[in-house]
Amino acid sequence: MSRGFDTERWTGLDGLVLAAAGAGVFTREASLLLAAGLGVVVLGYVRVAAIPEVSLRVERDLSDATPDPDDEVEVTLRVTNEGSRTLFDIRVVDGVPPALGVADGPARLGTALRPGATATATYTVTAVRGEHAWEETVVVVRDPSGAVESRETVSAETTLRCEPELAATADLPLRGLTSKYAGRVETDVPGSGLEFASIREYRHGDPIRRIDWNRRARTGELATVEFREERAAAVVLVVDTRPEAHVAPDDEAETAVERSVDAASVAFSALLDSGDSVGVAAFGPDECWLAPSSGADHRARARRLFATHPAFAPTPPDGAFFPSVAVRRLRRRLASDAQVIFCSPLVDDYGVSVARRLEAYGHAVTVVSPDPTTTATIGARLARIERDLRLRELRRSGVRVLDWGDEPLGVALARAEAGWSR
Amino acid sequence: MVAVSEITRKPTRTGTAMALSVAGLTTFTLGFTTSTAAVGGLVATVALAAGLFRGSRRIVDAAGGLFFLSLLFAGASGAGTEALLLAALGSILAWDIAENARSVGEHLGRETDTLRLELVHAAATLVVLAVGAAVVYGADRAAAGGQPITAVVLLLVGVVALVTVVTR
Repeated sequence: MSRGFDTERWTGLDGLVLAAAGAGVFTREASLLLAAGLGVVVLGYVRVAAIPEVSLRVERDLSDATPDPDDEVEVTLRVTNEGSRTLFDIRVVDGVPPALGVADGPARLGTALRPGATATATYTVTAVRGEHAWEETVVVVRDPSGAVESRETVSAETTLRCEPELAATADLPLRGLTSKYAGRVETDVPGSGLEFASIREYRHGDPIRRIDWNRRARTGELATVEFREERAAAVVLVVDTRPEAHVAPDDEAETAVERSVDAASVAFSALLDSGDSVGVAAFGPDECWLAPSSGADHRARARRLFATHPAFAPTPPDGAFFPSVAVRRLRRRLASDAQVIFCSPLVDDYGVSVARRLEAYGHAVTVVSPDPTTTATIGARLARIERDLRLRELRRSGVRVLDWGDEPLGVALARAEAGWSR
Repeated sequence: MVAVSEITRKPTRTGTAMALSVAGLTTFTLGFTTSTAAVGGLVATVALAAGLFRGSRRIVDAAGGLFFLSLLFAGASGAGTEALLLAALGSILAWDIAENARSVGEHLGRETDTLRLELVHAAATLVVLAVGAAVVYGADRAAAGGQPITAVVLLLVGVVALVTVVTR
């Protein structure tokens, strides 16, 4: 038995009882004294109030523990009274993961439970990308009079894992800086390839097939034809996951981080399909680094990473973050010939400086920037103009920028590609 | 992100309906005493409805106070024992159900099914009040007859002692 804490519901009743009794004596009316007597009975009822030992078991069932994004998952919460006493008043609030929204039916329950009895609540959540663990279920128990209340937490481990397929729905063109492996990026490096590049003086050891025999016949000199080499690129997708990047046009819309992760996963798949080696990094408080590589294993690793790594969670991180340290660390990890695709909403100047610094260190940077700004208020319009200026500044410094508004990524790409030079 | 169903933190509909019905019955009972007390009961019921509509604990408590004043007035102007006891029972029950509806609404919201919870609570209070009223009324009948003023004063002392012991 525990006393719990006082809800102070009945505070003042003793005063009213005394007032009624006093009035009864003063007016010599027996009925008032009897009413006071009734009040004393209630006071006694409140006085003996106590909460029995609370022993509850909570179980949770998901209709689908590994749903696809935007699927509705039905959650069944079962609360069983395992104690030996009846609980007259229990109120249960389930610890729904913060990133999941309850779409239908409250994740709450209020009832009275006999020993051994079970109460059930059913509600629906909409799955979003990530690994979501349910938090503790909060239970408030009151005695029948409501005079005392105690608050307990019961936990039942439940995890919902939502891993979207990596689909290459848009093909992201890379810039002309490459690795030493053959691939699809046409470079200005002369060598073997398909497209004619130049003719140079014959050097000992050049393959016979590449000798320009027409020239040999005309002038008697040996010359070698060179083609533009096609090479694979090493690309690192850097996603801006700083708290500043967790912005959205309104409460219901996807945050810029979610869109960035979407863009990165599309790009990842497309680049991997075309033979490039692709890596993933998060630029934010939670560290995340997947070194560039290729193959089916690598694709599976990345899929899990995008879905469940805390750095890519839809809710803002709360750890401390030192951006300049993070930039240095990122730069150390990047191979010197690696390209960078930086996914950031660019709502502050630091994102711009990261892109410019990486570009200055010799990495070809492409910025994919989901646009989180609106035109609703004057302040919002100002933020939009500021962001436009940042994009312009980046373009001027030679960084390729993809401004991604409401349209699908592919459409934004097609529009932007027209203005890009190789 | 998706559309999220919001919680309406207002007193539950079940509790509001029950509390207002009981308050109406109490006002009806007060009608058997004096007209002033009946008007007081009516004002208290309206206040209770306002408190439940606004979800304000203060207004609900004020409605309880108004009920008490009506009872006091009815008792002082010589109301019948039965009517007054019944009205007192109704007043306490109405306030209790209303306050509980407010607290359940705040914890769980209007969307949650709390019928069982509130029925159990109301039934528990009703049983305690009914037994208490029966005991008090029975004691009154048993000790029927004109009490001398000393007995009344002793009764008052007894009530004070009880209240202090019980509330400690």
